[in-house]
Amino acid sequence: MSRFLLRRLLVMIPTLLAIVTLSFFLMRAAPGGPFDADAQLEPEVLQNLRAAYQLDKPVPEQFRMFLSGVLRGDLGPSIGYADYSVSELIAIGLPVSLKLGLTALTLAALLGTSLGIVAALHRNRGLDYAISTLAMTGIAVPTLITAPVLTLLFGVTFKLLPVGGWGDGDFRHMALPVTALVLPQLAVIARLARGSMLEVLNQPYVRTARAAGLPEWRVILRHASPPALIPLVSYLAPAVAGVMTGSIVIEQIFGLPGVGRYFVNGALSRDYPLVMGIVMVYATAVLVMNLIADLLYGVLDPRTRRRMDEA
Amino acid sequence: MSGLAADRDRLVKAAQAVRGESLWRAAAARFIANRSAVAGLLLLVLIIGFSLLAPIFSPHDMEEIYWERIQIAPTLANSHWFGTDANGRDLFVRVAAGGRISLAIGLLTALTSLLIGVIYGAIAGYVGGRADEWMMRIVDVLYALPLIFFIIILVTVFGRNILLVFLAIGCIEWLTIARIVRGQTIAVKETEYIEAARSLGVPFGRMVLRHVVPNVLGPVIVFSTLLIPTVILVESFLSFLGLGVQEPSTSWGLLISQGTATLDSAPWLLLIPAGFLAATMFAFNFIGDGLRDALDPKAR
Repeated sequence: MSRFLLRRLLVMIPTLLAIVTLSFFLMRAAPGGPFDADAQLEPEVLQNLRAAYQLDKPVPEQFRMFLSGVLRGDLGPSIGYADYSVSELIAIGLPVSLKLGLTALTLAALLGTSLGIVAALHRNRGLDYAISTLAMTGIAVPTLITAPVLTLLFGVTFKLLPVGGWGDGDFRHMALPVTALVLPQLAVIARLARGSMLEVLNQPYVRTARAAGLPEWRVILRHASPPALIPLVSYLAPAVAGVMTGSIVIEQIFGLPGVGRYFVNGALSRDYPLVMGIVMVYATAVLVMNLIADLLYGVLDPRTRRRMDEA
Repeated sequence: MSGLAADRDRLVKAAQAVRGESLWRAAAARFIANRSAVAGLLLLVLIIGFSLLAPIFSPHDMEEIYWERIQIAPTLANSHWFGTDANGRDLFVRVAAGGRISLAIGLLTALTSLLIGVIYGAIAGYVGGRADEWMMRIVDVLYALPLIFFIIILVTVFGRNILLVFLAIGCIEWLTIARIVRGQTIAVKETEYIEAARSLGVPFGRMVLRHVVPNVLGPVIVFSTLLIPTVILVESFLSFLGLGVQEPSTSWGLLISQGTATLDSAPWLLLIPAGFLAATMFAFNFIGDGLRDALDPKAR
């Protein structure tokens, strides 16, 4: 087990390095620079600005400096948000994005699995069709439609909830963004849970449990659900990536001060250090999630645990 | 002796009389029997038809600005059937123009990734061994990338050239296809007909293209049907953030973004393009599900 963990951790390093290298050189290949918007800078001023951010050095040299900065835990200063370092901006944005994303993920997991199990138990009956329709809608209607339509309904027409802003992250400000973020993930999870549950319900051990005269709720909760939900663990990492993507749109629509907004603004204004910092944070998050999913799988499913020990 | 020959002739005739049902024809029959899949197909045909033909029916041009009729609600007067936008342009023709761009991008990008993924996966699976291991390790690394960040960076690199951007997305989205095709290829590789072809000395390229690829296409077709809406979503997403299609050209994502800005004063500017995008997503998803049921080998 620990050898498996060590191996996976070691594989993460070159992966992360590849991601960082690729995004760094791609960013520099982009036409334009961070000072294009400030029209008519004196050549000397521009030269001094570029020197201040080390942009006058050759790109490979800049890359070397960036890497050694990262190793020291220094992501450098933001160019677009003067007076802020990239780490400070991430420290401001990340709590908002994390709270939003984790709430959405938890809700999606809880509601999605419950709905999926309920649908499987009512296979091909009214409730199953209702849940499947809901799931299809969640998959087909993207966040960038649900978010503004929800705002239109609850914010503008009925004036029940604020149309945007974060407040201090209270329930009223979270309700609409989280709902829009949850729906697609909830839909996918419900579908996966339904399919997996249907498969398990046909297994001999479920029949045995029933034949032994266990009450139906006990058969479902103790014997059928846990093995049915194990395969869902492998959806954890894609779900995290999906929520990250969704939260970029959500933060834009609702004007939330999260990391996604900094990323889009950074990419648009060629704020190289800011973009690189956020890419690193998100890439690490996805990689760690992948690892956690694999480990959880091992803990939950004894068959894969043995394979890991051999690895 | 002649009796034997006659027997053989009769056997051959009998064999010829048995009409084998081709797998593709059986799949087509299953697909047509699936009501929601056929409904999805019809819906898609309608949407494509609308996008292509709307300019013929409407008297308006998508870039023409009517200063005297800014942001009017859908009406029969002056043939503004979907109303006009905040700049006084007719929404009916703009939704159709956006549809042409969104659909074309979806198709083009899906085709690009299909081509790369199928060839890459088939070669990796067919060659096997060390080469396969390395090729798939590369796919694993790329898989771990947070895709949307790369797409955003690519968009900033390629700037306004929307065609290049989506070719680039196609170059990223091929990973899953490559995985599917590799798995299928490894399964197909061990079959007798491949062995037969190999013993006849069929060269490598011809082997992969003529004998391996056609036999792994089922799951690939299903995945591609679901890839088109994914790409359309990515495009809408980018246009929504102001990183994709640029004015005066338009796409559904851009229209939705503009509609969101005038949410409280002109909700139709949001709801109409959003409705078209959602309908397209439904159509592709229904078709994809129908194809999966029709082509799933386990169902046979």
